[in-house]
Amino acid sequence: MLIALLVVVGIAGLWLILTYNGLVALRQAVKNAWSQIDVQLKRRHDLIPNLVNTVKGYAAHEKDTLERVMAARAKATSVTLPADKIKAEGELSSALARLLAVSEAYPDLKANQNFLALQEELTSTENRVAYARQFYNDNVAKLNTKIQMFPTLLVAGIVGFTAEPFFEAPTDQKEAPKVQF
Amino acid sequence: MNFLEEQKRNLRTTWFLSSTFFLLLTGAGLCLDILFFQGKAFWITGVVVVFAVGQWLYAYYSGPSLLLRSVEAVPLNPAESSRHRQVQNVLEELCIASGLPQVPLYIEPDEAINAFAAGRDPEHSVICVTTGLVEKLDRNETAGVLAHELAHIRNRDVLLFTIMTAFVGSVGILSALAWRAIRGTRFRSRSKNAGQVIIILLTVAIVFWIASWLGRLLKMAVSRTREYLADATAVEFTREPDGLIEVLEKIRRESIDTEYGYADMAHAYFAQPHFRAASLHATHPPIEERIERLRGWKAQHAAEPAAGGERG
Repeated sequence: MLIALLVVVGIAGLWLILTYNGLVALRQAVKNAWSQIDVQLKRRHDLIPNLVNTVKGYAAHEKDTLERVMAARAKATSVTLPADKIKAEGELSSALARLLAVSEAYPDLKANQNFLALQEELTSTENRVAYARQFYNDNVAKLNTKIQMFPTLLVAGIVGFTAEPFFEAPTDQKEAPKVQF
Repeated sequence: MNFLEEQKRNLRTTWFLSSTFFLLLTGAGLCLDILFFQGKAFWITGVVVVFAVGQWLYAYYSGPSLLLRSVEAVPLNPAESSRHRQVQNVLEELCIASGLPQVPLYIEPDEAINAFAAGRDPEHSVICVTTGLVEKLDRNETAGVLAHELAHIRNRDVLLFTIMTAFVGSVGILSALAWRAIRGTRFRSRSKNAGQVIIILLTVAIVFWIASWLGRLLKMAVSRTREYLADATAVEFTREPDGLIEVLEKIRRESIDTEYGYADMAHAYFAQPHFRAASLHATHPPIEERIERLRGWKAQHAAEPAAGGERG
């Protein structure tokens, strides 16, 4: 009788440890994925001044668009809360998309080697951001599902695991986050 | 699809293949010993097993460098042209999408559109593309191929491929050595047991020839299923099958004979290489079938666009 009880307690304990460790690993994956997004956003912020300067030389009277990009960048680099950040980065994305759209009207600009290189870097950076976001969201989805499922939810409740927020894509580019030229 | 399951299954297959291979060689060695030397020449088994273990360890630890050398691959230099830069960029993007560490990129001289991945785990893997791929594909198509190769790395197909190549290769070498020894014996030795030696060597040659043939069949069966899975995993990374479909269509149309590469690594490539001289077992499923499956995926997802969570 005592042995049976010990076996049951032992199995329950083992299950607790495995479940807890699984949750910790998932949360760590979410954290890593988030820092990957940060790295890629930083890359985008670094690219913008160069891009704006190049475009300025050829399309000086697109001042509004250029200013909008710089303002969006300034905002995106200053905010710290994840929710604000997500919103600011979304605005930056659409400002950049607009800048690239207007530069289509300047053949000299489009022939500029420097601009073409920047355009490729920007395309790549947008993809990196989109993929990092995708990878982050996948991990968040895994974590959130696990936390909500029985019986894992018992463990999650006791040790205080909470659902993480998704990094939503801005509404105007939800379906096709990848830039393609 | 649960990729952890897939990785585990691949690791199991790798171990199964490794042990089967060792048992086969040990068995062959012992048979020779017993048949011709009344069990007094245990060194035969010893030599064969040491050779096999050496091959295995060499394949595992030397990594992809031997493979890269054999196709004259060099590291891709992103500064060479804007297109080289783009290919490098696409790979870096997809590494982020797959959650893998950055994988080194190589380029081999070959007009055909192709690529392969090699290594043993994500930290020790490389991807190699052909010059034809760099010249003929656009950004989206390149992403399709590179996502497929990264899928081989994430699903641990690369380890399986490396080990399979080493095994088939080493059995082939043993067989070739035996043939060579037979010719040497016939022309040089006039001693009275030359006949017996020839019979022994002939047996060795035939046994290993059969083994290498079986190895190829096995390799073919294993790698075919891995190709479908890698296509599906690639779509999981890029979230759209169009690039992959386009490039498969392109390859189907061009079918260029390949200059480099050798038959024993055909299974590692993105698409079945066309070899001018060697006749070879198909290591890849037909391109039409791969395209068909990708189109099926697309149709299914066009019907239910809200199902963002279900992939591949």
